[in-house]
Amino acid sequence: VDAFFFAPAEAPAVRMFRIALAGMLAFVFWPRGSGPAAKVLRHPVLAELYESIVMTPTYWGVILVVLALFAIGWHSRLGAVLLFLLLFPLNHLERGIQSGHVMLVALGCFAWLRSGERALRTTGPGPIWPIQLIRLQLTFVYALNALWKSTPHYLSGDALVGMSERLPNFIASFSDGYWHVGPLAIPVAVAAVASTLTEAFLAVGFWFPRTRRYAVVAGVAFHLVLQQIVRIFMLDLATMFLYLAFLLPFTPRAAAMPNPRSDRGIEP
Amino acid sequence: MTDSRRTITRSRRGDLWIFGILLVVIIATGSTRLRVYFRAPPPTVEAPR
Repeated sequence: VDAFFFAPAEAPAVRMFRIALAGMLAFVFWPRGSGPAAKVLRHPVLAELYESIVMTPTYWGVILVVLALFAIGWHSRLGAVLLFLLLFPLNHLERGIQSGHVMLVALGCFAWLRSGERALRTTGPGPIWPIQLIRLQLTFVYALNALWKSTPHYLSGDALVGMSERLPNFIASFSDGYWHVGPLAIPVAVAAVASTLTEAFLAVGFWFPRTRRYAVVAGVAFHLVLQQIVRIFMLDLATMFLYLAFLLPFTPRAAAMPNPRSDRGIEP
Repeated sequence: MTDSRRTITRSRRGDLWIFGILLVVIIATGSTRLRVYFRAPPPTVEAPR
């Protein structure tokens, strides 16, 4: 338990994650002509603020400067907090709320690490628990989906058939009860069960070194298949970005860690 | 218990509090929007003749 929360995070991994996070935030929040969400426009004051401040090139210019400083490691902790505050309004546009939310939560957790270059060279980034939170975030994304899909209605395929007929972002049509992939006709119930099982596996598979590589392969394949069925803006990419929390070496390899049970203190 | 050890313990307790609060936020806000799609639709009520 102590190692889970308080093992010191490794500076090189924190640096890599910081740079990747800056790039991914720029990509996910890049202005794509999407206006404020309806719930924002309902309030005249908020709508005015969005029009005069948030939706302006100057606002995005400020974000780019802070992102660049965050990426190079100049007062990155302060940068992370500023970025969170600046990007929060951009997570209330018409599109991309889910993917933006995933990235903002990851940023909000990462902000608790001392990720600036000066700190990385002197005190170190601090305990690993913010990275554990990002890992748990990925786990909950998959686990909650798997849990909510585990109903007779979804597993029978009825939910997918209904969604494919009703939702405009569905590319595939399941109206005849089958998913047509080239010459194959897969019953929708099979696809529903397979997606639920895959997400349940992804919720736990990343935590064990032995299953981690299979989880990465299954996760990438799952999202590639999903892109052929439904458009979910950038939620796929945002979720796969979180894989880095498991893949980067945030803790030293087990072989190099001292073994308290060994008399010599080092793993034989 | 020495002062330095007490300070470390207090700092760790603070970290655990922040961890717990953020975890609750993650669970509470995580992909709740998708849930509505997977639910069975409510049974339709026939209009009275």
